[in-house]
Amino acid sequence: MTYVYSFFWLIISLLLQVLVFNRLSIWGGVALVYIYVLAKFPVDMNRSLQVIVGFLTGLVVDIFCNTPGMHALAAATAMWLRIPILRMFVDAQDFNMGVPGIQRPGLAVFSKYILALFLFHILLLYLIEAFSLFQPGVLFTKITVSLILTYVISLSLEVFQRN
Amino acid sequence: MNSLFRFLQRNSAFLTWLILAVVSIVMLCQGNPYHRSIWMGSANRVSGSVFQSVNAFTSYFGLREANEALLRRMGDMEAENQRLRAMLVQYEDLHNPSIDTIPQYHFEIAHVVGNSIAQAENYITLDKGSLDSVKVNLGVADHNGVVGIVAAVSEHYSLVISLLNPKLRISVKLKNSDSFGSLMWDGESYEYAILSDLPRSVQFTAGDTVVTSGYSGSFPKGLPVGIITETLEREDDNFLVFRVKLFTDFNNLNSVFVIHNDRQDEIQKLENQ
Repeated sequence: MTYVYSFFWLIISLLLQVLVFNRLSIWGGVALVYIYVLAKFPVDMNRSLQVIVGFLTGLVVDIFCNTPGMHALAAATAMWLRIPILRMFVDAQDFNMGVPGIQRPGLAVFSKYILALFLFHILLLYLIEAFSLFQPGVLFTKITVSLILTYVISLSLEVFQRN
Repeated sequence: MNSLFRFLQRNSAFLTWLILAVVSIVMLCQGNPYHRSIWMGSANRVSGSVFQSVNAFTSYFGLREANEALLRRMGDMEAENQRLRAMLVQYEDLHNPSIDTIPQYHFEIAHVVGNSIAQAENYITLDKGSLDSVKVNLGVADHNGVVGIVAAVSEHYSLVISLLNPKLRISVKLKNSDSFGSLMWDGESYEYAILSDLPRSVQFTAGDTVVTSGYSGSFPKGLPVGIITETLEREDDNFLVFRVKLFTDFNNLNSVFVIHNDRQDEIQKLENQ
């Protein structure tokens, strides 16, 4: 049931991403809502499957953005390293949490986990993009704006869901 | 054999990632937009129609501005038309009236269904494809100025390399001079591009209009592109480099013209000989 729920929100977030958020850029930075939904996939899910889900999610975004491979590579890598990143903040005995969120492991840990995951994903994404056009100032602005937008929207959604 | 199996099982996530990473990198390395598969881009049937159905609503935003710009442009064209008519009359008086009046270019309207301005390489999706006789290399402009060049077509959609894409260079000139240079995007802002390769001898002032040169065949000569806002210093001293403010508002693109050059095949044939 959790999986159906996760995939349902993944599709919603993809539609929002390509139809709404990609059009609302601030200084080139875009909110990446799909990575929030990916961050909330169940932790006990098969890790290979997580990588495949990340890759396919990224590929859909790529097709709409005409950036073949960019989001796919970044999202597959983020999904592969998602569990190790989560382990940095959560002890082994508390790891059986199902869907990570504000209830478990709690707001403090969850906000650190998604910040680390988003930073990793967004850094990787824009570094890949920088291979085709390197502009240090633009790169820095895009990463910063994108991270702030994604983080603020994700935390708002997380807090909003509980209420 | 057993240990190999265990190794694969223990590292299956890593191996999955490795395979998918290689697939992604192969896709990333297919840099040439003309060689790309139409299925990996926004001009394929599925993403094209998703974009199109949403665009049916969003295209109403910004209509007032578009309308005003159109009226302004129409006024300019009317003035130009009057001037040309007067010149034609004079010309016909001087020479035989047997001048070639068949127009070389014709314009077909298309609608933007997908567009981006925030990426390093931006593309635009149009709702006209090969069934509407859109072909690769045709120029695209809107009522303000140049938009881009068609890179790939499917049956119902086409993918345009936006001017906001460093892979596109177009041949341009200053309106009041015949020396030409090339225009390319530097990725900094969707409102500006860089004009380079103009010889140092060219006379110019800030505010001069930049137009297409007509050498590429994708665009007729004299299509507006932008105005010069500042001179940039570059190491190469033989050529001038300018920052150009683009006339086209890429943040608000709705209807565009696909420019068909009826003599492109003929020119191409001649150049290939």
